[in-house]
Amino acid sequence: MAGPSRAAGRAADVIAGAALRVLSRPGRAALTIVGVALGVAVLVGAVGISQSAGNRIVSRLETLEPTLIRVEAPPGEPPGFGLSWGSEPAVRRIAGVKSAATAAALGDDVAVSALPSGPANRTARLTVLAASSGLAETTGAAVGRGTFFDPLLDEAPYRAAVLGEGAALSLEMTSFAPGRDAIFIDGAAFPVLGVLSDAGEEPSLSGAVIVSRGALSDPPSPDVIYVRTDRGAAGTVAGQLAAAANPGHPDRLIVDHAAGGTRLRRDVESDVNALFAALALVTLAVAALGIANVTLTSVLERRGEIGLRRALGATRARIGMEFLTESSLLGLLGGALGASAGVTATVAAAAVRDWAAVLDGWVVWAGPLLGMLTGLAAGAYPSLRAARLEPTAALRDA
Amino acid sequence: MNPVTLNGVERVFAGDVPIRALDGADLTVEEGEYVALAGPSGSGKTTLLNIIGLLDRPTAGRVFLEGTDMTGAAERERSRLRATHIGFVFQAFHLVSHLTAEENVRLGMTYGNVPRRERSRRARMMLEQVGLGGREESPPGRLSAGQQQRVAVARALASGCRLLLCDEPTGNLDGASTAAVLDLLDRLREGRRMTVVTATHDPLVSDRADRVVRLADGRVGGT
Repeated sequence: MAGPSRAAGRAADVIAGAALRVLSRPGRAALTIVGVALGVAVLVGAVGISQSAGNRIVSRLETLEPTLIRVEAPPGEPPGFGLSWGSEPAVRRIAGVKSAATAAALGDDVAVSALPSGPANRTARLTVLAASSGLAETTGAAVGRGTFFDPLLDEAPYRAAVLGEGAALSLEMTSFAPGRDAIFIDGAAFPVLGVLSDAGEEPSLSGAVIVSRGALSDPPSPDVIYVRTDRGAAGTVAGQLAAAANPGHPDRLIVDHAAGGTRLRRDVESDVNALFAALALVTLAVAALGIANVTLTSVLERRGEIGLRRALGATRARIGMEFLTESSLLGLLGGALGASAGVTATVAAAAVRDWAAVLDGWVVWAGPLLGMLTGLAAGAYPSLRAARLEPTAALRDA
Repeated sequence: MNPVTLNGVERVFAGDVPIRALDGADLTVEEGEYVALAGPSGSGKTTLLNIIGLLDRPTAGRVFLEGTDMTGAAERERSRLRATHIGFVFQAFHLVSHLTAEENVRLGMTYGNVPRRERSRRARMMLEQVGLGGREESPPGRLSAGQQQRVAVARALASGCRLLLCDEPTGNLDGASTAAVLDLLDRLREGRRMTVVTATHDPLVSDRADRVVRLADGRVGGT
């Protein structure tokens, strides 16, 4: 155990010696420390303020961020690999989901008539969808006249239809009255419950005829599940949707989510960080030059002491280590002071702007480390000079 | 085994005009002997001391310490020997101004692997022996020249060295301080059977030596 304890003793000697030398010239040490502190403070403050600003920007952008997500199954998926009508309840259980609706296309070119049979007039070829009752709420579609489907119609075997605004025009059902009119598909009557006045965030609904899911005894597999989330929850919900909709084959589903806010926050943080990091690096470089200058001056001033230490048994490496420790200590102290100042600046800036102060923990720890590395780099050349001094010359010139 | 043996030592300092500081110097110093190196300025006294003290290497010739050839010894081994076997006292004292008297004495043990607690005890004891008990906390600036040289002697001896090399140890002292420092060296040397080699112009120093070796133009002239 003599080896490690001797090495620890040597390390303690080197650090204590460096601390004594720093304290022996307090004014010079203080100025050097302030130089490093300035650089680190700018860096920590920059990261803190940009993170706080980014957080604030995101809070504001959350009001603009899309909250509608589409989970789609590619066409032609075999049963079990895509979506099912049973997926919707599992999707609704995800925290942050406000509503959900399932839809399946029955055809893009289906003959739909406003009369039971006979004349070709008031017959149009339209897109027909089967959908669950949450479709209007989830897509933001508005019913102008009448109502949308009651949830009972998701399961009950009653036929009902809602027309998109464009579809109603095609069928000349502009004077529609709820409970009086019906449409006919393949000769089957579907009472019309309502007509949309606005298709919301799914424009294709305008030209479509939507029939209740319960009207079909054997509906086809759904093509899409629409999901409406709480503000700010879209990103989190989107990450869980595929597994909830089809736990067996989540990778077969396509989740369409416009992650605008999160990306924008990253972009803002990145831009501000880059700007301030450049400024901080310049400041740190100036501080490093300051440390190098102070350490080099110290080497020249202490030639006699270096010669003496060599005469007392210090090796070249030990002399170099002593000076390097001194410059690193100056950097470490400057880094610690700078990190504290940077945190203070972040909190103060956030308080003035009424933001929440946000700062990653690692930034606080990185400050002193960065200061120490700056001191280490800046002290390398002077330490080498000190180590290379010939003891006889150093003693003679002192 | 003689503490110091030099065989045909030469030292040439390179330059536009090379300077031959030592020119085939031979010297043997016996254990416990007090040898004074005398000679005019530039005769090679300090260069000889530096080579004996392993601070410098000869251009030619061989250096033996305690019978071991140190001529080509590695830097680490030379440093180790300086830390544990050799003590230096300089004309300019070379005390570190921001350290106290005790800290300066402790510095002499820093590189010799003396435990930290032991350093403090030994430093106080050495200061007591050189008559500076009670001045442990004084920085060099508050001590007289004679007191500063006594701190330097304490620092040199604290490591337990057996070979003390002094370069004009009384060069910066007045008469009273010179006598006090020389008395001190005599007392400490006899108590420890220590070998002393001192370079000096001062007859008061050479008068106390067992042997005076004269140097002229880098050559050892005789005793």
